[in-house]
Amino acid sequence: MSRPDLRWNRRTFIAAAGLTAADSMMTRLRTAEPSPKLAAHRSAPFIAYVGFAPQGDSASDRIESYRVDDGSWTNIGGPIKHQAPRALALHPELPVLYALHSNARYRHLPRGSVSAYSVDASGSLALAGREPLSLSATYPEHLAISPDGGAMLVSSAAGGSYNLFSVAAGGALSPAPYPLKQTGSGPHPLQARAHPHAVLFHPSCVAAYAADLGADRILQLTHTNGALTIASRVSFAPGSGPAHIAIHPSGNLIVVSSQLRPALTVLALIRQSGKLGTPTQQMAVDADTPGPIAVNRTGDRLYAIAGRRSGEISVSTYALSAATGRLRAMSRMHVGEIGAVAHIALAEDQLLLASAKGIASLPIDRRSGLLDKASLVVRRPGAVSIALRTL
Amino acid sequence: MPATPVTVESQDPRYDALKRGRNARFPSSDSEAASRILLCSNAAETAEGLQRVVTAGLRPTVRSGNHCYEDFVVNNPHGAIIDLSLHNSVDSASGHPIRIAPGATLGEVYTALYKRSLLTIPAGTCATVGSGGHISGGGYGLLSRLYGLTCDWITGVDILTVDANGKVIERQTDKLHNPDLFRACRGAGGGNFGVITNFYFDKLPPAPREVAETSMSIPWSSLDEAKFTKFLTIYGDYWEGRAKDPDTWGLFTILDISPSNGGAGRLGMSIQFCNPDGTASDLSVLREFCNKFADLHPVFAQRGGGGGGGGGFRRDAALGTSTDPNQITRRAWIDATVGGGGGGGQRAKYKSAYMKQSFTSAECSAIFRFMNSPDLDPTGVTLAIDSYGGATNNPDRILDTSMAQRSSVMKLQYLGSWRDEKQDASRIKFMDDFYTAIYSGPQVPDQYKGTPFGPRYEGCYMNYPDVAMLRYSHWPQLFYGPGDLYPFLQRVKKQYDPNNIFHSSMSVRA
Repeated sequence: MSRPDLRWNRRTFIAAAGLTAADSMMTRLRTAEPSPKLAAHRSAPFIAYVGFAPQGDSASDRIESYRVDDGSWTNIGGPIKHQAPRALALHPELPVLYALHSNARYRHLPRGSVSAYSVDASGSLALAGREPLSLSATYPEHLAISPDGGAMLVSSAAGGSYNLFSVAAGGALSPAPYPLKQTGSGPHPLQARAHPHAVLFHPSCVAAYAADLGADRILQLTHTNGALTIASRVSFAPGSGPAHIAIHPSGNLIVVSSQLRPALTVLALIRQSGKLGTPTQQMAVDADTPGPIAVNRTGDRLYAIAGRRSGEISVSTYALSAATGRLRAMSRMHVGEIGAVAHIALAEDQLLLASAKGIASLPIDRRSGLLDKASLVVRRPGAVSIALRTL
Repeated sequence: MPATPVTVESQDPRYDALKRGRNARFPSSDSEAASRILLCSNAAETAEGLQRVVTAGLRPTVRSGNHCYEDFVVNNPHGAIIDLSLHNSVDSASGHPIRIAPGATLGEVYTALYKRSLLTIPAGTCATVGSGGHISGGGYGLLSRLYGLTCDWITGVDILTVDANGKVIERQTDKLHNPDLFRACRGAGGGNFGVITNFYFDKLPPAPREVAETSMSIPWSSLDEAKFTKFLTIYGDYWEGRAKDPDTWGLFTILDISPSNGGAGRLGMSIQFCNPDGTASDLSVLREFCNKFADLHPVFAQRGGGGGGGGGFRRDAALGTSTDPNQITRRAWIDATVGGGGGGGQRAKYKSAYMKQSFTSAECSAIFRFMNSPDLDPTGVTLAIDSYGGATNNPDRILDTSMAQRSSVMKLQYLGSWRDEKQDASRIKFMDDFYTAIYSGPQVPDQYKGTPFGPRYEGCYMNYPDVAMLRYSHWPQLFYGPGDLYPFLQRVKKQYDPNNIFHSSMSVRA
């Protein structure tokens, strides 16, 4: 059996994503009730890093490390204190974990920050450094590492900006990131200003992409000599609220989940330049609060979280055609009332949800790519971020 | 063809000079420096330049005279400085007898207003300070006891704001048009809401015809703690007691307390006076003030020197002696006012405090102790105590300006300057320790320890910004008062700068 491309695996595994929801064709979808007994699911071994934010009387902000082996989740070391770990990402080559601090202030100044942790052989973390974001880049919620490991992109929702860090050969972040301040608004009450949300890099590093929920647009960002610029953009209908994105492994498609008018949109990406092309499909989805989306490693399935105001969560599976750029609804799996799902991550044979009630796992059928019943594999409240590292 | 500002980028020979602040601490490093400077000569160029900067997603910071004490302007990594120093006209406009552009220095403003119409603004002592930052942050000066703050006199402001979609909007503000933004531009400080391109004044006070001046000093060698306390108490009591006495409002002093240096140093006071009618014909108020210190045997010396010598109010050299017991001299107000240099080029740290009452024994003791520290480098440390009260304390102006401090009788400025970058940490720490100690005595309520807040104080002056105060959760109240001013400014910020384009370490939080 040949060893899969590690870089690809790691990139895929840390692909946390955005919002989405159920399909307008939901009547044709198969559904399943949440498992009454949340059982552990078999899985290839990996390390899971999970960020927790305080909820009620739960423990304070922290990152916990788990070894996941044969479906069993075992803590590695103790929790690492870390304020507001709203997003995590692993370096594609180096044993380094990056974690946002989604705060309004860092060292009394109005900005968030990002910490880098070195990962030892056991998977345990040790703080290696912390760098501030640019002034006004408050409450960052998403970050992405370029596939070549040379750059990190952070979006700041409240600050209306993106920050591009250079990543040194050893994984350290260079100070003074390049900020790209955004403007824009929409008709929805949540669109009084630009609201950068999910960010992802193109598999070839040719560009990065960002969803702006406040300004109703998707951006293609490029960086030359450390400067971050907008290379192309696609505007969505006013009030759409594009929030989450997922890129097809071929690099030819990007899927956008709109949060305010729940919908999925597939856009073509121009070969070589990575420029945003025309939509190949747009479909409304049935959800109150669409959640993150992710494309599987073979590129033929899209998983999309759909939330209800009641707190009930379901995950829809779509067939994604790389040739036509079209989605087709396949099934919908009810997860239960696990609260808001902030991030998701794909392991080889399961989809993991970081939710208000902990980490939920949905097994993926290797042949069909469909999801099975969910189990709550980590019953600790306040999970807000997750990143996976293969062993 | 759109107006186009001159743009200076890193390969330009002018870049190294223009990227710097007068406070040599900033930019903090090459990586913190702005990537470009846009030199704007008028409002149209400013609008065009600002639009380009915003469209490019860059952070604009704004400067007029480049005197900002903190990192608000030239620490702007990858961003752009909107430099208004070439937009420096002082003239009139239709419907407005007086228009002052933000790049005009105070010296240029004083000269133009004096020569054209015998008017003035009650602004600061440093002639090279730019109007834009100075006036938008309040604008105190030697005539403020007589005439109030400069921002009290503004009747209109032109300002460029950026709307939610990134479009630069030219706004004319006054009490009828965008009145909330107009109020915010009267004292909240620069770099919060937009780029001011003109100030308008329907009327201004007359420039005094002449002023009387003197200086007083006392050697540290003649002072023990008791005498030092007596000296400070006389000084503070006078300003507390005479804050509402209009006959004294033409009197202004700056008391400079520098380190003892083993007794070799001196306390120095610069004194300027005019009668409310703009003459110096009746010096009884001035003499009475000078004689308050007679028991401490101060040394008086003449001040002045014709102006233009590069020395401001504080730095005028003593000229000599005369038969006048207080060494009082008289000279034309314009000569006494124009020509102050303002230093620059040194590394510096500043802090401030408003005082509503005279000094307590605990404050005096702490100042005495620090100024007599045997390990204190005697150079470059000064506590400057300015006299206020008088017309600055008009309570009605709290409602139509953004200056909340309307009950203080003195404003203290803690100044530290040095040249060696290696001293940054130790010098800044000394300033912090010194300042914190003064405001940690029993006169400060427990919840405000370390800060000039509570019954005796009114916080700090935004034009003497101090990022160290950000460590206190009540820092907005220190600078904007405990009332509804700061929430008001936050509402203005949200309305007129929804994307928080204009921000700095201490800008009004979005």
